[in-house]
Amino acid sequence: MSDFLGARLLSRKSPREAARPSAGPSPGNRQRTGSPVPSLSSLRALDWFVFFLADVQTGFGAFVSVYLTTQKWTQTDIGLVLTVGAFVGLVGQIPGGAIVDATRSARWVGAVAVAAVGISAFALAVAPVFVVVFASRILQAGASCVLGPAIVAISLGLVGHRRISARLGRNAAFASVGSGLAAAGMGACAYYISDRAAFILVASMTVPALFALFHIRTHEIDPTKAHGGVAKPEHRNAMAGLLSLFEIRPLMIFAGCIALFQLANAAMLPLAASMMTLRSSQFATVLVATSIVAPQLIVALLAPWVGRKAEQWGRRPLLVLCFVALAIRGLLFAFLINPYLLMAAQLLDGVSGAALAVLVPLIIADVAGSTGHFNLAQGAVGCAVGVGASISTTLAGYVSDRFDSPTAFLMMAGFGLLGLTAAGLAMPETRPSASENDPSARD
Amino acid sequence: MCCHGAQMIEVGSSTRWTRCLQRLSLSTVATKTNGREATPTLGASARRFLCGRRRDKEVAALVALVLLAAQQPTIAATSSPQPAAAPPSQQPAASPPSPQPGAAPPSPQPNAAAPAPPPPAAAPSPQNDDTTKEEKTTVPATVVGGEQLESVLGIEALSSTGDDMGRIVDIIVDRTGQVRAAIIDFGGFLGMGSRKIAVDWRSLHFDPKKAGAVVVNLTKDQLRVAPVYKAAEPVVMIGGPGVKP
Repeated sequence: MSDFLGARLLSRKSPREAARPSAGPSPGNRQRTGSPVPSLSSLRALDWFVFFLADVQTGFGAFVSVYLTTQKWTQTDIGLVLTVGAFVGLVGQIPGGAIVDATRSARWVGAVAVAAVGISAFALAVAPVFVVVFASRILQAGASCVLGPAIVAISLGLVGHRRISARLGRNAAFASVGSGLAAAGMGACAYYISDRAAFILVASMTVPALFALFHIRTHEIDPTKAHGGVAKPEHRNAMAGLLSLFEIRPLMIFAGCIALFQLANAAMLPLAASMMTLRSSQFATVLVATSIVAPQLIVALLAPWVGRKAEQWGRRPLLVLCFVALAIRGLLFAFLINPYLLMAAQLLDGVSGAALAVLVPLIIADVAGSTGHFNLAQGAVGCAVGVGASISTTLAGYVSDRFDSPTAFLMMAGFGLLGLTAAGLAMPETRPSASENDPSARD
Repeated sequence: MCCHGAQMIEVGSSTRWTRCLQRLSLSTVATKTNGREATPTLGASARRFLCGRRRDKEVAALVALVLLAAQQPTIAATSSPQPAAAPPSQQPAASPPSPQPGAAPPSPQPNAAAPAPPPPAAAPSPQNDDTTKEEKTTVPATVVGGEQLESVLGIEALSSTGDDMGRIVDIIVDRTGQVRAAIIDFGGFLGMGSRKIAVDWRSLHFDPKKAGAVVVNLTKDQLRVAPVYKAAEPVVMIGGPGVKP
């Protein structure tokens, strides 16, 4: 095994250096010095882990405010609790990434985080008093900051960088099916039984999630690969590591593009849903439900395809596609009146969602994978995303109150076009094998 | 103006930004559709907070809110109300001792026929009878059986045909203490896409046989076209005594 590690460390200098054809492992002896092939059961277990985890996370969105309303909370208190959770989720992204970087076993970190989410969901379902809900929101927000990088780290550890693209596509597919089914299930539960029952339903999904997590065989997760392929990061200090990430230009450009994306995208769904409620009487709820669930199904269908094409075509064309879908969606929302057409336009969210779900971890792995601060980089980009999303909802709310909703949609489409320009012009291609033909140089 | 017209709530002090907070958190679901987990929002709540003109009052109100709300034992109405030296109606509704919104009329009303009149009266607790105190001051109080009263916050609003119209999230009271409207959170799915609409109190009917729900004398169509409730601006209260669905 030391032979294997040595060979991999040699090829782990940087994407560009690794791309140079060297006397590295040839296809003939790749199996000997390359990564062990993970077993099918570990891969399946990862699939189901992602599925159930997405189930659980779905319950913590806007539904919390509905649930707390039924528990006779005032709007002030609800707003406070949600904001605190959002704040922790934003600020905790970078420490969360640093934590996953620092630990050798991403699996255990994930297990602790999933348990924390489960506890917070049960606490919320059982005792919705202020202190308990406050604590549970903070706990869940912190855990989700850790879980995002942890899942990508486990995936990298299992399949390595060459096959990570397809793997991320599969992860995104399972996650979106999970969250779509959870949304539908919660809606049905809330309608037929009660809101609390819906919460208990998603809380109970943590049990299968933990079960699936422990089915992933530990020895198949290579910790070196999980951390991007370096045994030790060059900067021991997380802060120094973070500062060193700022010097990676493609990473900064990418973070800016994604922040622009969220600036345009985050407020579109709530605003469009509000428009649907305004304009349709009979089927408003069904329309809104469909516009939440249907894009998830589209993500499930498209994400594996995106994963494969990202290897074939490169990352940039798909990033451009993502922004094009966003800009078209913004324009359609601004000009369409009919609520059914609004719902159809919302399906484009599935296209951008599928592209991003694969591309974000993939590009981060491409550019920051070999620094040893891969998860920290994920946390930093997650932070930028969160900032963009927050500004988006506030700005859109302000503009739609001050002027009207079509103006808000046009503004968001404008941000989308800005992001499109940035992605098209400034963003470099980060696919590692883009500059060479040897497919075995990078694993 | 830094703050956009956030829906202000009468109950729980005049903090504009707190409603913004709720709206900001909606982005968690929005970003979830992109396959990432719930990315949080903080939004410019802090920014707004700092640039608001009534910053000091709001800071004090927030601190008071958090402290008082944290003292609140449970939301269930069975907790004994804090023995109020002043009548409950004088609290600025920052932390109602019971989960009712701060719509307490100026004096406790005799409340034999419970549901029909404006909101269930905040009857001061029997502990205010003060028979145990030395100075023998007597305070008038009314005791009503618990099952005859209900908290109005969070109950379902149904149309006369039984359609679900949302939930009551707030009560609007004018300066004389008369209840004018209820704010109903109308529509949406799992919290997404709902709108807050002010419905005239006279369009609401409480059925003595149906606890936990209120009947609104309007159809869904009449309600959905109503403008969204924003506290700083003129409130459009849909309905009225003569409205027929």
